[in-house]
Amino acid sequence: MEIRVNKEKEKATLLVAGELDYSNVAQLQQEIERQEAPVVEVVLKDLQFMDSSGAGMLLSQARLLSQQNRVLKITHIPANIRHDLEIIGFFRVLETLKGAPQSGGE
Amino acid sequence: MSLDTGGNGKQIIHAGIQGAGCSIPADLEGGDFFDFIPLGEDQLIVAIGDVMGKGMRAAGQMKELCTILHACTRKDLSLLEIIKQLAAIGGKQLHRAGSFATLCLISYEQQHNCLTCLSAGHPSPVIFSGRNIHVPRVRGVALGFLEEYQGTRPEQVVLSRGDVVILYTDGLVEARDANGQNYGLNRLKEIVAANTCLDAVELQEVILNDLFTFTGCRQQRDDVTLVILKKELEKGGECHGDQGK
Repeated sequence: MEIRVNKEKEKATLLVAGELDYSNVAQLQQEIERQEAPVVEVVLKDLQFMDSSGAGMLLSQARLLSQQNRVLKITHIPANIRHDLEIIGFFRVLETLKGAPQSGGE
Repeated sequence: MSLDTGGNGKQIIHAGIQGAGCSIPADLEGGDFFDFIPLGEDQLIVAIGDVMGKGMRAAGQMKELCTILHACTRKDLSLLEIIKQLAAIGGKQLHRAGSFATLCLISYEQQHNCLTCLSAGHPSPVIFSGRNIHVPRVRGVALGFLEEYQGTRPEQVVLSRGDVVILYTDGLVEARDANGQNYGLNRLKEIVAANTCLDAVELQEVILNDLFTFTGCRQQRDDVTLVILKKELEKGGECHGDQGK
C-alpha cells in the first residue's frame, strides 16, 4: 500500500493506493492520527482491495475525529469496495456520526 | 473426491433439511464461523458470520459470539429478537475490542416449510428453487458498529422439496486466481444452478473443487466459508434442477 499526503490549512488529503488489509492497516491509521487539520480526506480512487480490518479502522477513526469536532471524509471509493462497505452497513454508521452530538473533543 | 477443508466441516440432517458447511481459514485460525443449531424436532437455526481480522484474536471473538448465539437460541426467541440480543451483548463486546462481526441468521420451520432470514452486515443467502434464483433483500448493520441492531425486517420464503440455499462469506466470492480476478457471485450461482440435484455434501464438494480449480489452490487473503442447505426430496422424488432435465 502507498499513501501520499497533501496538506492544506484546513484539510489534509491522504491518497491511498494498492491493498489495505490486516497486514498494513496500522500504517494508514497512524497517518490519519498524525494529521491535525479539521478535515481529513481519505481518497480511495487507487485502492484495489480493502478487507474488514480496513473498514473497521476507518470507522473507528471517523468516530474519533467526530468526537474531536473534526471530520474524516472517505471519497472516490471504487465500486467493488463500495459494494462490500454497503453490505456491512458502513455508510449507515457514517450517517449516524454526522447526526451525533459533538463532544468538543479532547 | 475428499477435499481438505482444514477439519472445519460439519454436516446435519434435521427438520427435513440436509446441511453441509465448511470453513477454510486463511491463517492458522480464522474469524469466519458457521453453525447448525437444531431446535426440537421441527426447527433448524443456521448461522454464518465473519469477525473482523484474522488469527487468534478474531477466533476468540468468534467463539464468544457463538456462545451468546447458542444461549439466545435456548430462550425460544424470534430470529429478530436473537439478532437484537446478539447486537446488544456480543456487539458491545466487539465494539469495546475495536472490532465488528457480520452475521446472517436463518431459521427453518418444517411444519410450514418456512425459511426466515436476517442479516447484520453479511451477504444475503441465495435460494435456488427449480430454475429460479432468489436473493432475499435482508440488510443490516454489522454487530459492533452500533449499540443496537439496525436493519430490515426478516424475510420469509417457503421452500419446496429439492430447493437449495447457499450461505457464504466474502472470502469465497473474493478468492482470486493467478491474474487477480475474483471467483465472484455469478460463478458461484452458475455452478450451484447446474448441480442442484446433488445432495448438500456432494454440492459442497463440487463448489470447492470449482473454487480450487479457479484459484489454482493459491493461499487466499481471507477465510472461505460455505454452507449449503437442501430441502430433502421425498424418497424416489424427482429432481427439477438443470441436471435432472
